[in-house]
This record gives sequence, structure tokens and C-alpha cells, in this order.
Amino acid sequence: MNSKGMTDLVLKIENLVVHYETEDGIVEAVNGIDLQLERKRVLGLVGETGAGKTTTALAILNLVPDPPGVIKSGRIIVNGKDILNQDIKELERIRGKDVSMIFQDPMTSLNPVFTVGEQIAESIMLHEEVSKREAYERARELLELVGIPQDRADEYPHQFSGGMKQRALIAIALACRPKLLIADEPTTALDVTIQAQVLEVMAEIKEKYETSMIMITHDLGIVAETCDMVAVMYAGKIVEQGTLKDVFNNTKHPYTEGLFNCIPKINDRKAELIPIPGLMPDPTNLSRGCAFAPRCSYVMKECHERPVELKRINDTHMVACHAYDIQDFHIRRRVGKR
Amino acid sequence: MIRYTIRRLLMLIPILIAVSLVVYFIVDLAPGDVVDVIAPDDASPEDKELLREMMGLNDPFIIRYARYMQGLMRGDLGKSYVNNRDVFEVYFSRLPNTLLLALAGAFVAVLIAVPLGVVSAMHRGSWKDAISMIFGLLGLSMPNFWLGLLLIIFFSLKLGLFPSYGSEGWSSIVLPAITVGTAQAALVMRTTRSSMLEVVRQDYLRTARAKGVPERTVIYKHALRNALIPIVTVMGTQLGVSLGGAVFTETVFAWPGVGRLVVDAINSRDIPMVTGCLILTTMLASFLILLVDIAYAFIDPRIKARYTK
Repeated sequence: MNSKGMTDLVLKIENLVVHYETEDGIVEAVNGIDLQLERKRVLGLVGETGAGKTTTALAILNLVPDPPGVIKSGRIIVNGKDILNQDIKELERIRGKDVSMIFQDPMTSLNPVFTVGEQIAESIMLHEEVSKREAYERARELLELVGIPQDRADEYPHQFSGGMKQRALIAIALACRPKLLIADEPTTALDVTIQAQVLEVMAEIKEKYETSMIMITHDLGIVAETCDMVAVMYAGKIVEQGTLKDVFNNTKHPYTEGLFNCIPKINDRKAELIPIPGLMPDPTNLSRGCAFAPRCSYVMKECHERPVELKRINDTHMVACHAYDIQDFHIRRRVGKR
Repeated sequence: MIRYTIRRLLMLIPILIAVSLVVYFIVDLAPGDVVDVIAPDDASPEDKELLREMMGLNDPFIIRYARYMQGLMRGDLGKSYVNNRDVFEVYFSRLPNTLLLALAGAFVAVLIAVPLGVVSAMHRGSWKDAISMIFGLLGLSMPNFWLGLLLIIFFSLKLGLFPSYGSEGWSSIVLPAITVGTAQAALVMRTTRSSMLEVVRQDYLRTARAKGVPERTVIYKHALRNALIPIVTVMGTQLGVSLGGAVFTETVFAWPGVGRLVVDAINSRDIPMVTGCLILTTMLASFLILLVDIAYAFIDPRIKARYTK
């Protein structure tokens, strides 16, 4: 599967299934996904709201809210450690040290009653044998690293702007130089002008700390800018995955195609956006066949009936679509090639 | 912060004047007067009328209130109609007992209520939650004096562990403190529970867990600190109420506090004593609420920012 062998994998997910068992029914959030990520690589996890991206990320930290969340099956190996079979003490050592996460909404993700410096230092003190003073000093340096003046460490989150809060969260996540950083829509809640700055900070630090990263987003522009690998999720399954080049230049899945058609083209401003018709299926009531079938413009009879498996296109590129059983099938790209 | 405190203290002046007027007026409305209480049984109506005239009780309300306020402005709370003792002195001779009972009760309340409320919220819907909620319901609905009597029967008469009345030594405060504390604990517990339920959903707790913060620390440091404002508010209010004295508990345990002093004074229509005690209680309670408001600033930096603006 990969020429460098298994030892260079930071993350390996096998057949992960996560359900939310609510009173109104079982929400099938993640339905059997496989993923792997090599050291120093960045994986883009793409899909609409509700596709199961955040649930997948929380499962990697074993932080799926329980109840109602239940990890039904699967294996998650981070840095050689089997996450789903660790006791709580060991998990607390892994969280923040081996894997850490940046959350979607910086406005609510910092504790309002502690200073930003304290919140960064806490992470350091949890994982390393350092004094409070040392940890705080390192917290100040980390703030500097993400582009915030050191002396603002004594301030509280409400004194920070949205972009600064997200930088502070990045500093918390990176405090112990994790092997794997999961960024869950890190720029969604930010102004466009701030988005670019935050992405730049993340890219710099990733380079400096040699961190592998999962970038969860629905913004294909961010994927193109930051990722090496891409996995497209739909209704809890991966429908297409491959290198950035595979997925962007040789798009195979109709859903991926649909996502591209929703992006405005800068060199053809008159081109109409083509939204994907319909909505995501109800995750409490998924069909046996392809979940995308009801919205797919290439749909065939068997799409509704037969479950889809990922099929290999080349060494790195895989797609889950029945259409590729037919010889010579190819996607019609609506607006000019990239 | 200091300016805020001074502003709040100045606001106390009109409040105290209003309290004095209302209390003086209401006690005056009550039928009968102090002469009926202090005059000897064989006093004739003429003697009583003479006494009223001498004490100035026959003057119009406005005149009497103005006379009272004249004294008050000089810091003189007057003397008791009944035994001519200085109101200020009598009040402060009773206050330590009331303070002691109020603080001990609050201590009991916090000791039981906060952990119970936290556990209840963290295990919402479980048997632990159910037991806490039953305790909360009982604590709120059980009459104080009845709980006091039960405690006396069990711990004093049966087991002989604590004295059943009086205020001698530390052991005599245990039962009254539990009696006062239980009702407060119920309220504080329910407040802690609902406040924690608000907070446990917050994103920043997920951030803390993702850092590897142990669950206990997540709850007692990250969550509880944020849930503290309503809890402190309720505790402050309850403590303020206790400063006025716990009349039932004081009666059951023969505890010489402010509550019974005021009730006795009301019964004998001792207007200077009632008004004086209530003014002083209002003052103390206002200080307490000011302390609570200042505590907010230390709990939540966002509130501190508002105060200093």
C-alpha cells in the first residue's frame, strides 16, 4: 500500500463506525471509514456539514460525546497506540501530546475565566515536568510564535479578537509539539482576511514542528492550498480519496464534482454556480445503496440497491461509485478544467 | 473597582432611609401599643393614657418619625420602649450568635450542596441525580422547625451527641447549623445543578479535554468556575436572609439570635427596637450583597471589565 512501510504512519483508521443513539433514532454518523496519514503529510477531510468529519476527528481523540455517541467498531492507531483500547489515564497522556485538535469556533473554545497564557501553560504542565513559571514562559513564547505579542498572555479571551483567539487555540494545540494535529474548520468562523493569516501561521508551524495534520474543511480552496492528500466524505463514508492531484485534476466521484461546481470561478465570473440538488440524506435512515444516489445526475438503478465499495483507480486514488463498473464512464466537468 | 464600591455604598443611604420609613410605618399600623405591654396589670386607662402622653406616643406619626430620624442622623438608634436599653447595644450583643449560626449554616450548605449539585449534573438522569433531587425537594419543603425537632429527638435525646438547646461551646451549634443549612443546601444544590448543566455543554470544556486535562479537573476547575456566578448569588442571598435571624431555628434550639429579638420586639410593639434592628440588618445584608457583587469580578474577568468601565 505504501512503499515506505507501515512504520511511517502517524494515523491509521480501520473500519470506523460511530453512531449517536438518540431517543429519535440511531444517527449513523460514521459508517466504516479507513484512513491513513504519513508523517509530515496533510490530509484534507472534505464534505458538507453533517458528513461525519468532526465525529471522525473526535473519535481519533476518543472524545465522541458519550452519551449519545458510541464507537461501534473500528481501530484507530495514532503513533503506534491503539486509541480505542487505552485506559483513561493513558488517553489523557495521548490527548494534547500525541494528538491535539483545533476546534471550529474560536469564540467559544477558550475558557472565559482563565488568561490565555494560563490556558496554554496548562497544556504544557499536564504533559511535561516543568514548573508553573517555566510553563508560562513557554506559553508566552508560543504566543509570539503564532503572531501575538508576548505580553498579551496575561489577558483574558474576551480581550482577544476572533483571529487572535484562533491563534491562541493553535498555540494551545501545538504547546507539546503533537505528532498529529487535527484542525476542524479552523477558519470557518473567521473573516476572510483573517483566514489567510491563520492558515499561514498553521503552515509555518507545521513545517517547524514536523507535525502531520488533518485539515477538516468544506472549502476546497483551503484544501488546494494546504493539503497533500484529500478524502471526500459523504453521509459518514469516504466517497473519494487520493492525492491532491488525483482528486482535483482527475475527479472521479459525482459528489466531488458537485463540490467543484459550487465554487465561483475567478476567470469566468459570469459562469453560474451549479448547486448539488437536494439535501444530505437523513442519517437515521440511510439506504442500503449509495447514499448520494438521490442527488446524483448519473444515477442508475443499481445505485439505490447495491452497497458501494471503494474501487482503486491507481496506487493512490480510490472512488466509491458504481458508475466505474461501466467501461469508459467519465464525469462531465461543467466549467473549464483547472 | 474602588469607585464602583463607593458608588454602591452611597446608594445605601436612600435605601436605609426608605427602610426606616416603611418599617416605622408598618409597626405603627399594628393594633395596640407598647403601653399595653409595659404598664402594670392594675393600671387604670387614665394611667395608661398619661404614660402614652409622657412617651410621646400620642403625637402624630410624622412628628414621631421625624424625632426618630433626628436621632438616627446622629447615629442614635434610640432606646427600647420596653426596658430602656440602647438598641444598638442590644443588637450587637445578639449579632455574634446570629453571625455564627448563619456562617455555620452556609458552611453546611456549601459542603453538601456544591458536590451534590455537580454530581447530579454530571450524571443527569441517573440514580445519583434522582437521590440529589429528592434531597433537594425534601430540603426545600421540610419545615425548619420540624427538622430541628427531629434532629433533637435523634441526636440529643436518643444518642446524646449534641446538646438540644443553648449556645454554650462548639457542640451546641451543630444541630442548629444543620437545620439552617439543609434548607439552604437544597436551594444551592439545585442552582449548582442547573448552572453546571448550562456549562457542561460549552465548547471550552472540549478544548480542555482535548488538551488531556483529567476529567475531575475539567469539572471542578474549568466548569465549576464558570458555573459559580449563580451559585454565589444564591449563597449570598441566603446568607443575607440568615443575617435577619432564623426565627424558627432560634426558637427550637433556644438560640439567642437577632431573629427572636426582632420577633419579641414586634410583639411588644417596641418600635425603636424593631426599626433599629431592621435598619442594621438591612445594612449588613447590603454589605453582603456588595461583597457578592465584588466577588463576581474575581470569578469572571468579563464582569470586572464592566465594573471598571
